[in-house]
Amino acid sequence: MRIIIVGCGKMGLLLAERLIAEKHDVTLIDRDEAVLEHAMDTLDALTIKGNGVSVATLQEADIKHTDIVIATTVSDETNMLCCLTSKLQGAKYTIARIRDPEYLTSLHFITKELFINYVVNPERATAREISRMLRLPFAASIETFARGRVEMVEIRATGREPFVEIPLKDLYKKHSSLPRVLFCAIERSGRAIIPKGDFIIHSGDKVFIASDTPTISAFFKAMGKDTRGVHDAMIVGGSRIAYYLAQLLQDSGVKTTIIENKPHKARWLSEELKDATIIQGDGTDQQLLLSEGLSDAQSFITLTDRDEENLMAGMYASRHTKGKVIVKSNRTSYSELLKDMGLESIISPTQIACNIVLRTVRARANADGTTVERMYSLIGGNAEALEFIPRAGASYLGIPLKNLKIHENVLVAVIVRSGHVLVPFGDDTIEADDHVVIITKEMGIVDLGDVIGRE
Amino acid sequence: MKKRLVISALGKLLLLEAVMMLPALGVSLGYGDGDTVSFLISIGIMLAVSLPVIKFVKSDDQQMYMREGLAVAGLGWVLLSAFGALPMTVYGACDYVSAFFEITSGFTTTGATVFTEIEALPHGILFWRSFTHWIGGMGVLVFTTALLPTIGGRGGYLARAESPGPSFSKLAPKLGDSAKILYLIYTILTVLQAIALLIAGMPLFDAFIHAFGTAGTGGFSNRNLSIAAYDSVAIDIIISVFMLLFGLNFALFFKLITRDFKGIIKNEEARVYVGLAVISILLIAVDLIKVYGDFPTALRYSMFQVPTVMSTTGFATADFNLWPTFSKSLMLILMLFGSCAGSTAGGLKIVRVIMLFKLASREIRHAFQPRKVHVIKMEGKSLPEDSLSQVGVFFFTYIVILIFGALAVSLDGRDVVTSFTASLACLSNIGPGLGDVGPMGNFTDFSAPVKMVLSFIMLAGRLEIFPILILFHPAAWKRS
Repeated sequence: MRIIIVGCGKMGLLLAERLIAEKHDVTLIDRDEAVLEHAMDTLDALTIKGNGVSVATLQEADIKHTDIVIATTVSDETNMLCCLTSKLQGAKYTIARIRDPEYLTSLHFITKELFINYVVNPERATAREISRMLRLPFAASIETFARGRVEMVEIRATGREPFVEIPLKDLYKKHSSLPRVLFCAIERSGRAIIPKGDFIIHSGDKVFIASDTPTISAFFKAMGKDTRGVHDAMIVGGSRIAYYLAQLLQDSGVKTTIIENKPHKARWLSEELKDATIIQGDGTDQQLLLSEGLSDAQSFITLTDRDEENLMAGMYASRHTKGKVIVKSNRTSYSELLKDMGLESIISPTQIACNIVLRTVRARANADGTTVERMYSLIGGNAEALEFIPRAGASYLGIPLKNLKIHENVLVAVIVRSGHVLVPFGDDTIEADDHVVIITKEMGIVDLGDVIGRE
Repeated sequence: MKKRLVISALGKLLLLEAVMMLPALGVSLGYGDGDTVSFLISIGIMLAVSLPVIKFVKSDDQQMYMREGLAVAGLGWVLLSAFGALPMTVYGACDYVSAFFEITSGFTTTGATVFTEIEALPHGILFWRSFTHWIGGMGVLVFTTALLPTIGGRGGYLARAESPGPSFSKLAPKLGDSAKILYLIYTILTVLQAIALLIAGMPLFDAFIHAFGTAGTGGFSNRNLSIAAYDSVAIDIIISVFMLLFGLNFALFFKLITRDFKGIIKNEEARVYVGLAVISILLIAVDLIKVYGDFPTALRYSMFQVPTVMSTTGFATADFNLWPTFSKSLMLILMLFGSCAGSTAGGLKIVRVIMLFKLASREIRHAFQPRKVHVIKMEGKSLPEDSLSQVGVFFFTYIVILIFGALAVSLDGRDVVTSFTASLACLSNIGPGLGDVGPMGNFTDFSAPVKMVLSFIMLAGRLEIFPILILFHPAAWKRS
């Protein structure tokens, strides 16, 4: 597809890189020549200097024949206006990044009147993801599929779990009482592995485990993990994510403390968030953190605008509390390093927003077939978990999985049929309107039929 | 510098050259005039060198940066010329240095020749000589990005290092697609010209030789007298029209296909190029009345010779060495300017000349009104200051190489005009100059060292100087 990205910030560039890898034609528009020059050096994309709102610039980018316009400039208003102009000039689909909480209430009206087809709010999506992580504090991350019926949990194997140092196919022979879950992907020294029955998990591996939500809880309970969510949260940095997160936590009854240094911001948060405690002070000040009860905190989340501050505060906190530590950092390439320093849960709003946009693009790319319902990138983007709903008439329906031709490095992880979750075996089939979750190392899959077919 | 990456890319490039020699091998088999064995030996040597390199030199790191792109462009072109010279040497047509000069002249689309008796050469070698024009015109590395993206890796360093003009204009978001569009336009225009020449009465083999020569703006002919040998007005006109077309930015042809007529008319460089051509043709035609007697005949010769130097092709229907001084001087200026950026032609490029003129006029106005903020614009868009200073530096370097080239050639003891225009004709990739190297002269009698110097000047001109210059700069070879 032909895609225009307006604004070459962190998100614009990451999106461009991923979209080009998925074989789309990408044109980048930005007002800063230096940024474009850098983009031209590293990306196989067309670059145009100009204002993404101006008709002349958009026409130069051949807006008439463009399938998707993605507006990711720093300004919400520019993004909205860009979508409007693009749509009036002939673009088929528009995606805008809108971040300001003030627009949230009028979003429905704005998108309708300004022809914005899809709004992505990285901060809000990040807050949702963090709140989910706080429900199972021992997990590094949790993804949900099939409207929350299926969960995929990422944990680090420490060596004490029953599933390490044993071929996966022998696990349930030895521990027959253990609830049935699926081991869908392993990260070992930065590489993604989709395990087969004779695979052996070692201590130190990152393991992705999937099943329906009650079974996941039962599985970890049987392993002696605390599956209750956290009761309090300490947040450093009163950013937009903190605001959205505090709102979500407020609703689920978690006691929230936000530490923010700027007085006017602290004041605003205090006005907006009734149940949260707002502390005005430096979140990297160790004395302040200790005096506010860091040692007993069940969770500690750093959300300032500066990645470095987040990492420093996170590292300090992980030494002083047994609670869950979550760090916001957009530099995901360092995550391997950070794990060695005890930081397991790193979240990147840019990455999260990119995944959302990519999912939307893939759904557009395949408008007539099965569409991608959910998409998560795992293991630093080396593997993906995708959820599809096959429509009636697909060639692979009703055939036992063992008789289907399924690509190497593709694992059919979970099938949800009329609300029932099953971990499939060779004799199971895929039927129309199932929710099918696959794990894959192939990137850019838009249709289940791309990887599964008849013999 | 990632040496392994560069070496493995060069190995692949050499293999590609062996493949590109196959058409010439086919021609030599078809005519059977004795050069088949020399092609087989040459291809054998190229395979023997390239295949082990490809097999054993592997690089885990595939990311090319500017430094590697420039090095592959610079070394790659030297390598192509060095091995491309093999068939002629093996056949015994000339010594190795002369063959290196001849093929460098072919790849860089210069068209300067060391042969006096061209018609005595076998068909296979004649075809190979002209085919290098065609490949070199659009660019070997552009060709590789179109078909073999694995060599180029991500980004546009390779194609940019090879493309004529201050910037590489992408026609499509993907570099590979851009390169394919360019080669498609290029091929279609070449075939069209060959057909037109056939209809005008040229034999099939000659039609393709001259179409290759025109498309790459090279200028190798298979006739001793070049185009004058046919003495046909129709052939003159077809070739001059196509020479002017190949001197245009190829993006314009793409705009024609996509029906962006406004974009074509708006193109400042093309307008100046066409205007300059028309005015020069008329001025020279008037000046030539005293040579040829009447205006139509004068116009016929001026209409061919002006496009041939402007597009830096170098075909000839008249010996402009014998023309009046005004015409010769004007021709010299046109030789320096060259054609549009993004074409297959050489020279400074019209767009740079326009920018230099605007820069000069700004400096003059600045003297009158020192506080006035003056932005230089091109087609309504303001030009960034650093691209203006780049043009200034490019112009200076170009002139320095021209002067030092002339100085080196003068060691052979020729007159000033010959030394100077030999250097200019090679740097601007034209071929013929004035004096002993005029349209009816050639480069045979230069000494071997001078031929080598001129070969590198041709490469510097074709690759827009810097990829060749960095080969001689120690910083490029240091570990980063």
